[in-house]
Amino acid sequence: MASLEERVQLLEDIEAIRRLKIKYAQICDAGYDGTKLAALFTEDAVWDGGEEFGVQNGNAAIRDMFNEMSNDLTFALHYMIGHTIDVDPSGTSAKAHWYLWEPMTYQGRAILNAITYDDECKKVNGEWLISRMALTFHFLTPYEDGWVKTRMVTEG
Amino acid sequence: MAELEERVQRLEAIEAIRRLKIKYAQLCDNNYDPLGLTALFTKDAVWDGGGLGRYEGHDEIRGFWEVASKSFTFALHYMIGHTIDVDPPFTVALGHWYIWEPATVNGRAVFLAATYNDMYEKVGDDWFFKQVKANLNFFTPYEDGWVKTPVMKTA
Repeated sequence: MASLEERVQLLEDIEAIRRLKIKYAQICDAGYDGTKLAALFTEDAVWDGGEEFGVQNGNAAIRDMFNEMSNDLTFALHYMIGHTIDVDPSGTSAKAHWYLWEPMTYQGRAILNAITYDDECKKVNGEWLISRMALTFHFLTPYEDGWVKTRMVTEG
Repeated sequence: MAELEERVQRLEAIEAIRRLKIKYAQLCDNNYDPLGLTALFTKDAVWDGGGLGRYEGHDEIRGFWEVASKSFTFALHYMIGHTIDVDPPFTVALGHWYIWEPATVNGRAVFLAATYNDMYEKVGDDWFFKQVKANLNFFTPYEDGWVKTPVMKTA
């Protein structure tokens, strides 16, 4: 049975990892500053946007991608919801799953975005960072259409 | 129970119950996995969805999930703004949630909004649903919205 200290540490780690994801959301919603966002990731982090958006390897590539993104994505609200965070017994790595509901403006169009995330995090010098962020797009639909009419705005 | 131990147990219970509700959401969103979902409920549990029906015990509850995925072919259960109340000896608890649910029902995109009143029971080391009561706010086709069509007919 884990000690009281270990049990409290686990709860604190879960809260710290939750806050990390919320910070990511807030920086995205403030205009996708690539440098600030990259600072939340490990040096060798991977951002995996799936078939639609590709994979970025490493901190610099992630920073550049977010800086580019802000050109087309001029408004967003990242509602981060329904997380599950599993911290490894070592207390230095964790996996997290999140739901995202995101109204956004992309190339001047109102879009509704529904994603689930599979994240991995690492504790580096006492601070939690994101080492992997993998996106599954459920829909990315123009506001006028909805996901039955147009599931992914990127298709056709 | 020592005071610090009790404080930690309360936080752990809240997190475990929160996780239970998210697992429920994930199983619903995975085609309403009937066995997976039923296993989250106590043997005598009640799922009460008002107009969606009332189901008691594992057989009825499982039967509901088996049918749900035939009309709800896609759903995302966004579980939001929970309050979980649990006191020593941490074997029963109450919860309230908001749900925001985009879904595809009989081929139509819909928004479902509801709140839940839950009762939870701890059996052994794990928490289970003893009661789930869903209170519908609206169930509206995407094109209409909740003023035009607060509750759509699914037939």
